[in-house]
Order: sequence, then C-alpha cells, then structure tokens
Amino acid sequence: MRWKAAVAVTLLAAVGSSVPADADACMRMKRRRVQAVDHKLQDVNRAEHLLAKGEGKRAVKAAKRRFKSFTAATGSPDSGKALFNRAQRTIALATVRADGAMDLGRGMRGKTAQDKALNLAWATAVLEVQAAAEPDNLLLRTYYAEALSHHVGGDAQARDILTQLANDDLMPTARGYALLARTQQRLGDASGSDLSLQRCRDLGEGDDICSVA
Amino acid sequence: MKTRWAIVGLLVAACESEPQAVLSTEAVVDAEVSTTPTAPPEPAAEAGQVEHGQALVSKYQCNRCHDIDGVEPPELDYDCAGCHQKILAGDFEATEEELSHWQGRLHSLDEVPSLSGTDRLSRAWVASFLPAAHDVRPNLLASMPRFDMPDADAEAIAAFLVPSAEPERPTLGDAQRGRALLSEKGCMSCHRMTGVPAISALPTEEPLAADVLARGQKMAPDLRWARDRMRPASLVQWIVDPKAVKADASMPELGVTEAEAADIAAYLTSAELEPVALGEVPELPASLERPVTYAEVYDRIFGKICRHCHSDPDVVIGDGGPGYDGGFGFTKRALDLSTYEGLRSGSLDDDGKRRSVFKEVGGKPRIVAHLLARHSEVAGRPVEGVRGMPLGLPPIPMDDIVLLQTWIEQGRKKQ
Repeated sequence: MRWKAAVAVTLLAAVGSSVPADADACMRMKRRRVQAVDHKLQDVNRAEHLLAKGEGKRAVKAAKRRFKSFTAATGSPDSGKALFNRAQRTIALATVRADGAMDLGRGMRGKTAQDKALNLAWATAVLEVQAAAEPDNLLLRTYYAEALSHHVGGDAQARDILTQLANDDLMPTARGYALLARTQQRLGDASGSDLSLQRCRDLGEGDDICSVA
Repeated sequence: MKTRWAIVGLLVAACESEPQAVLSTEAVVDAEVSTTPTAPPEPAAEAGQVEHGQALVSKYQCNRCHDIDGVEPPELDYDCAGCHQKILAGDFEATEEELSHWQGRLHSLDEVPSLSGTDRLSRAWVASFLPAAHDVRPNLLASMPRFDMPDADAEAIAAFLVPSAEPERPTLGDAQRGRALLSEKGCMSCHRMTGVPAISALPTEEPLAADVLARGQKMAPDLRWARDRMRPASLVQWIVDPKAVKADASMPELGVTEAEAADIAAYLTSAELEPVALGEVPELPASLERPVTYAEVYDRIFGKICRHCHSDPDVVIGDGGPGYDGGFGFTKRALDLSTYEGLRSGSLDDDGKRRSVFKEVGGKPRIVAHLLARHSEVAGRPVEGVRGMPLGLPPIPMDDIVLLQTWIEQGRKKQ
C-alpha cells in the first residue's frame, strides 16, 4: 500500500531528528500511581478520555503536551514506554478519525491532501506497530483495523480482523461492531452489516456509534 | 507459611473464649506416646536441590507475599503484602482521600507469615502442601493460592525452605496431660484444634497484651495440622520458646516447661482426628429482575478484587499482576479485568489463543464459573479444571456473583 512507503520516510525522519524530551520522569514513572500529582499520567488519561468523547483535537493537544517527541519510534527508557505508547496511540487514533486532518506539528500540519495522507500513513503505521508489538491487546487490533478502513483497499483487511474478533465473541467495543458493519457494507455484505449493527446496539450504544455513516 | 482455606463461616468462632466442653475423656489418645513416626528422619537436602529451590521461589514469586530468609523483597510495585501493609499503616504515598478509601476496603494481607525459621517444618509436608494448599491458619483472610506446581518443583522449594537434617526425635510425654495443658496454658485463646473434642479456652496464666493476643489469634494455625507440619523436636522447642525457633513468631512464650511441651506435643501428634468436614456449596440465587449496570459490577467485583491481579500493565504500575503476565508460576493469561474493553477481550487459553470469558463452562459463563468454583474450593470440593477465583481469597459473595450473572444475561452493556 502507498501509505506504507510514505510512512517509512516519515518515521525515519522522525526517529532521526527527535530525542524524547521527557527524561525527567524516571522515578515518577515507577511510582506514578502514588504521586499526589503526576502531570504526565494526568495528561494521557485526559487525552484518552477526550478521544473517547469524540474530541480528537483536544485529545491530541493533551497527549502532545508532555510527549513532544511523539513521532519517535518509541519512548526513552526514562519516559516510560507504556505511557509513551498510550499517548502516541491516542494521537494516532485521533488522526485516523480525522482522516489525517490533524495538526501534528511541523511538516505534519494536515492541511493539504498530501499532508493528510502523510498523517494518516504515519498514524496507521503507529497503530500497526503497536498492535504487532502487543498481540494480546485486542483493543489495539481494532484501532489498527479502524486505521486500515480509512485507506483505499483497506476495508477487506479491516473486515477480516474484525470478523475474527466478532466470531470469537472477543470484540472489545461496540464501536468495533460499528466499524465492522461499515466495512461489510462497503464490501457489499448488507446482511452482515445489519447483523453487526445489531450487535453494536445490543451493547447499549445508540445511533451515534452504531451507524454505517 | 500463610496457609488456609478461607472458610469464612468459621472465622468468627475460631478464637472465642467461651468455655467449651472441658477435657473430654472421650478423646481417644494414647496415654504415653513415644513419637516414632513411620517415616525415617529427614536427611539434609542436597545442595543442588536447595539452589534449584531458591530459583523456583523467584519463579513462583513467593516474596510478593512472604518475607523470606535469603530472598530480597520485591519492589513495592510487586509487593502485594507490603503494599497492603503500607496502606493500612498510612505510610503509602497517596492522598488522604485515596488512603481513606483503600483502608476502608482493604482486609487481606495485613499479616502474612514470614518464611523464616522454616527448618522447623517437615520437608515432606511442605512438598505435599505446596501443590495442594489447604487451610492451616483459619483466622487469616487470605490464603495460600492453589498453584499450578509440579511435584518436582514443590520438592525443590521444600528443600530450599527446609535444608537441614531433621534433629533427633524426642521422646514425647503424656498425651492426656498434654490435652489438659493446652487448656490450662491458654493455648486455645488463639488456637483451635479441629477433629478432636472441644478443648476449653482458658486464659493464659499471665495476661497477654492486647496486641499480642490479637496477632496471636490472627496467625494461629489449626493444631490438627501440627503433626504433619512440624518436625517433632521443633514442635517441642516451639511450644517452650517460639521465638527461639522463629524470631518473628507471633506466638508468645507461655511459661511451658520442656516436660509440659513434650506432653502437649504428644497430644498434638497422637490424638485421634475426625476427618476434615466438607462444607456446603451455596446455590447461586436467581438472576435479578432489575437492570444491572457494568459500573455496579465493576464496583462490587472487578474493581474491588479482580483487577489487582488482572490488569493491563500499560495502564497500571507493576506487571499487571499474575493473572495478566503469568506470575506465581502460572501461564500468561493476559486477562485485563480493569476495563470493560479488557473484559470483553477475553484471556489466553493453554494453546495461546484468546477465548471469551463469557463462553459457557458447565452451563455458566466461564467468568462466573471461576467465581463459583472458589465457593466449592473453600467447601473442600475443588472443581476439576476450573480454578477458583479470587485466588487465595474468600469467595465473592453470591449476591455479587448474581449481579455479574444478571449483567451478562442482560447483554453485557457498558452503560
């Protein structure tokens, strides 16, 4: 796929030019729950919360605040890899949901069609890498499927990932069923799409989530 | 060794001081016992086996709960007992509000027997106990988990904990007299001895400080196990001066002479025991008519108990717990019960593939079956192939399990 070539360039550039700027956090990461105030954790939690509410731009802003080098391949050992990954995937998913139209910083403003494609490619690669690195995390797998579904020709692969989860009764979210319904519809499987939408609604979600629009 | 089935119903009655039937003459004991166990005295353990056992203690993460001679304590993030104790003591770095909230909900691992002075124990008993732990200290809330431990591993760990050769076995005394002494010396202020006619619980000759008594009552083993757990010479020495055997022993010195200790040991090792009584397994109540929310189930079950061992390590401190990463010698299950999405994502099967926690086992969703199995375990009726959860803790009350069952039946909605 074209996005893979594009992202390789982006990632290489990003890794080469960025040094994680969060090395001040070493002990705080070890004890992040017990600190009265841990701003880095707070910001990541807030970013995830905002994204869940559909406020992608604000989510990206919150996540970027403490992880300015979010385009790096990984966090520095001192920064806490897990927290870095959470921040990075939040930014990536928000970018996917905005079809790349997200201001991620210099060279990644997401204004032109080319910028958007580049952002989307970067975000998809991030989610692919994270999903591959954590195969036990099914939520990451659905994020990756969601990213794929935003690429031309990506629906079939996204549908296959999500169908497997649905068949095994392992779909982590109602949104996953909605996404499955969308990919099925686009691929011409109307009855499958209806069933997936119903399973989405069975989990108590309304038309804001459970739709193919 | 922190060992007990958590038979909650028995806890309250465990140390009551109300006099029981006094010195029943129906106790079937030999009047004079010369302890000559059928098994020969244990030789010193082989050095290689001791070394292997020490490595296995790391593998099974015994130090997450126990202080162990010769083993470093874990970091606080991995220290289950240390974390609980710090919270209860108010030493944990957290806000007042958090501490107060946790302290109100935290009831287990406030005391855990250290693994020091373990040479007092029978190595054979330790080896047989570890793969099939049962209740030894009925007044402690948490209990030794049912490990998935091969016999060979248990034998190596036993060699590490009990490396020395068994001392010469003493000649024990008058068992009938020993039974009387158990009462007169105040032993039953803390201990119980199931399987024999009740022994009256007289107070100790010298009143014990309240904190000493409270700790003693909490930690006291059921004396029916002493004959298998303890090496005879250590048993006598322990009764005379517990801290000479184990420096942090919770049992106080009670002014028992060596001859009296030999009498008591005679009774403990020879009194005829009734078999351990099996408990009744309660029925799961009928599902609720009212709507049940995920938030309610989380608050009563997953958030309160399960997530301590089943959490995504990306989100919590530590390793996500043995139920996620495979600590305590268990296979990695990657089960995250700290979030709705994690719950829906299931867990890894033995073949490494994920399966839903809602898949039915014996007519119940798997996650419900595990909670019910814990009730069966504490009743002495473990369920083949279904490990009871929560591991080593009292069962989740049936009224809470039915909440989960109802929520599942109502479609497992997030809102």
